[in-house]
Amino acid sequence: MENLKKFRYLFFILGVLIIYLVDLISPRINPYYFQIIIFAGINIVLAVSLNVINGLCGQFSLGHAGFMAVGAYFSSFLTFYYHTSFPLALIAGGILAGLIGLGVGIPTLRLRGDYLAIATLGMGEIIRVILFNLDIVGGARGFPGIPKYTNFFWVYLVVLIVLVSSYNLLKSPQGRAILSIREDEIASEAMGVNTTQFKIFAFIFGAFWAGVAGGLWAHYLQFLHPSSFTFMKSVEVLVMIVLGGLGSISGVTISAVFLTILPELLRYVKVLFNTTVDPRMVIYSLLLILTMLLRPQGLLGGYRRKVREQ
Amino acid sequence: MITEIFQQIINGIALGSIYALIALGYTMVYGILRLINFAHGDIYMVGAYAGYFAIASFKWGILPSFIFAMLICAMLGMSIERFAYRPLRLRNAPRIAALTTAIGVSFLLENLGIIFWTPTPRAFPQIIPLKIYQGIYERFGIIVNNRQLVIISVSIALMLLLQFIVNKTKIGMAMRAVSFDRETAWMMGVNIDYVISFTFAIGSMLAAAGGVLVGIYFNRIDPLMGVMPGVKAFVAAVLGGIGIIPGAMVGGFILGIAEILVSAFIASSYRDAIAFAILIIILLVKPSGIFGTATREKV
Amino acid sequence: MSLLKLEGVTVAFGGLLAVSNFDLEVNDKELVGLIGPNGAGKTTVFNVITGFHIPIRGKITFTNINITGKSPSYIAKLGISRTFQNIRLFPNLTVLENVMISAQLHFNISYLHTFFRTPLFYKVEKSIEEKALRSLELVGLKGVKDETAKNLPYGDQRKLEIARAIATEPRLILLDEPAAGMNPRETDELMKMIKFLRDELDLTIILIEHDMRVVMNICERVVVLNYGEIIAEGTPNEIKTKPEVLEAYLGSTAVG
Repeated sequence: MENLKKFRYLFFILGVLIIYLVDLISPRINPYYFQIIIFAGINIVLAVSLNVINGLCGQFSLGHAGFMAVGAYFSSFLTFYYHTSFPLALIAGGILAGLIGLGVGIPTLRLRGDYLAIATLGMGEIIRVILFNLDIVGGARGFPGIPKYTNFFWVYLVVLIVLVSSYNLLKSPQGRAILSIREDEIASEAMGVNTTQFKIFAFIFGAFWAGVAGGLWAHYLQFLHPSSFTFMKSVEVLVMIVLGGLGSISGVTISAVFLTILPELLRYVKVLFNTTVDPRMVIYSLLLILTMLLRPQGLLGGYRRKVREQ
Repeated sequence: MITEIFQQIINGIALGSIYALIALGYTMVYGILRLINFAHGDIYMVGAYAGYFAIASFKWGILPSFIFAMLICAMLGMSIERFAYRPLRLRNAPRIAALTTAIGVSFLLENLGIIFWTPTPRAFPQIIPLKIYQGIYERFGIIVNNRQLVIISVSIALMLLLQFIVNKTKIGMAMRAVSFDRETAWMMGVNIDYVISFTFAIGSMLAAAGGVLVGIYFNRIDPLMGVMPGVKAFVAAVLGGIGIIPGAMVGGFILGIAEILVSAFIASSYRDAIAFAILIIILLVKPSGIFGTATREKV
Repeated sequence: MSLLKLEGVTVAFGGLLAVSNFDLEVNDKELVGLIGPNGAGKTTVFNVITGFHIPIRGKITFTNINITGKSPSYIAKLGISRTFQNIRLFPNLTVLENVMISAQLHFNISYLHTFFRTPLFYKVEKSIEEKALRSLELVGLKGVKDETAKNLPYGDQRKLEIARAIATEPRLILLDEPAAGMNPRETDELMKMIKFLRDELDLTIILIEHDMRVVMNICERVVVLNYGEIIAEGTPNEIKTKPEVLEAYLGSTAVG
């Protein structure tokens, strides 16, 4: 172990290199599969970042789509109007989302579980209504003509960074403080943990990466519309982390990939049964209910840090 | 200007009484289970469809259709509680698990609605012919139609009935006892499961009535019609003080009026934001709501 | 020297006074027992000292610093630690992690070190772990450090709460019914441990306890609370004989 620690930077660089090499051959990948791979990566970023708020810190946020929207719109605004370089625009989108996370976090994090859920839901809806009325980014007409910058390299570089930073956070004094809030907030305070500060950090961290994911998404699709960022989108990410096992980074990652591929598999089911109805959301909701009833620790999470049982 | 404001307030009261009816279900369930029943807005949607089929397909009159919709939703509400929430409650699962399940149930109802009834909105049969009363109000220039009067009076009648049940009947007393202290109520011999089931039934019936009324008022129903009113009604419940029945009514009216005023005088595209703005303000200023008293977590 | 001083502290819930006009002075390295019937307001006193309740009147000073109305985490940093009557561990974390969370209180490491895993990060983590292990050793739980906290037997959970409390390096520790649910053998061990904490670690201890054997054997001074007010104060032997105590509190149970 000690020896491996010394090479941690080397491993990271090696990871980046592999991503770069795969990126080089990516034009040869079948475009249909390529799109799934890109969406899987973006979903990993969304799920892992929401997992920090909901799974590790135990704060029930339903506003992830809102943070994603802020990052998507702001980064696209920068690249479209100011021709900002892509990584810079991504970071700027993430920072603005993080700032909004901070603005929402400070007043609302005093609220307990379900109140927080509703407040973050409300925040997401307010963001959507504002975008709907914001003419500079197209308002209700949508925002077309966003340059196509997103490629395999950027998506998976972000995936790598978000995974490494989440793991590093989890296994650290700050990470333990965040976990202790989920486990028992009162005991946590009594042990000197400044719970408000860590909750806000978790929120900013989650919001930042959701914003970056939004930027990646926008520069892949090249078109944005406020209706893509409804409460439903937040729930989609929620399903990923619940299914993967709240708090388990590996479980959540696998589940994000799984739930990206699942609808594609369901396409065949549709063809098979010769139906026009899209069963995806029904299956999502059933997965959510059944997971909670039968395996609250998540379908894939065999991990120790499972949902808190009282 | 003043006339216009009064006119909009009347429209707001009509909308608000629907919110109030839905908010009652939220507040009762929250009072007893400390659970945001996310599926409640969708029960209201099912109520609207039940009313639609009763009127359009079975050719029933208005009263039987109302009762039919209410019974269907009572059963739906009780089944949701029985099969989705009760297992978690018995397992003493964390509230986050219950909330996640509730979101799942809500999505399930919406998407089953889309599959069975298609996402296309349907025109609700015009069972009450529109009549506009201008005469008596002419002096003030305010227009009220008979549908608004039906909505407001049916809502108020149902709310009074609910107040009677909660305050004057035995089951109402049991409901209050369970909401106050579930464990003690259980030790005093109250059948907790029965009371919770009953609460879901009553709440769902009110939502169903709201659904049929909205169908009559706006003439238009669709499988996702419950999402926004559902969340807004929850805001109304929080605004009045969650768990407090008169609070839900007052919160519903305030929200309905605020929303109509915003869309009339500011911009209709912001009407959906006002509810959430109110919510965030109330949570910051007085999270216990207008009628609520502060509670503390036990250390 | 007085370490902790409560002057006229009054806590109200709604209109009800849970603690009224409470005065208490605790000296350095003292071992004080706080007793009284159920609902007398003992835990409320702990909650108000540790910042979980804010008094409507009165003043609390600790090491000459006014801590009235300060946040629990600030008070913990100043050196007051506590256990909970109804055990509040971090149930899904390991025993070691439970203690590390409090052991890290006086270590400051920035997020940059955490995210970039600098050598300083590993050094600090190691110090925190060593400190946590020392606390676990004191209460005899080092052997189960990788066990999940909620899987520990009841008596061990109480011990873990104590280990967690002392890992913050407090000067004052508030123990809320540490012997509750323990068998006589475990209680004996506990008494030894509490004495050890005071004698060897130089801790000041306030103890809420229903087990009179514990109170009478180890406390130097006992404060009796009833209906939120102090009704008697003195050495264990003095308390035993006071009629108002017998009336209010010992009417139903015999003194051990």
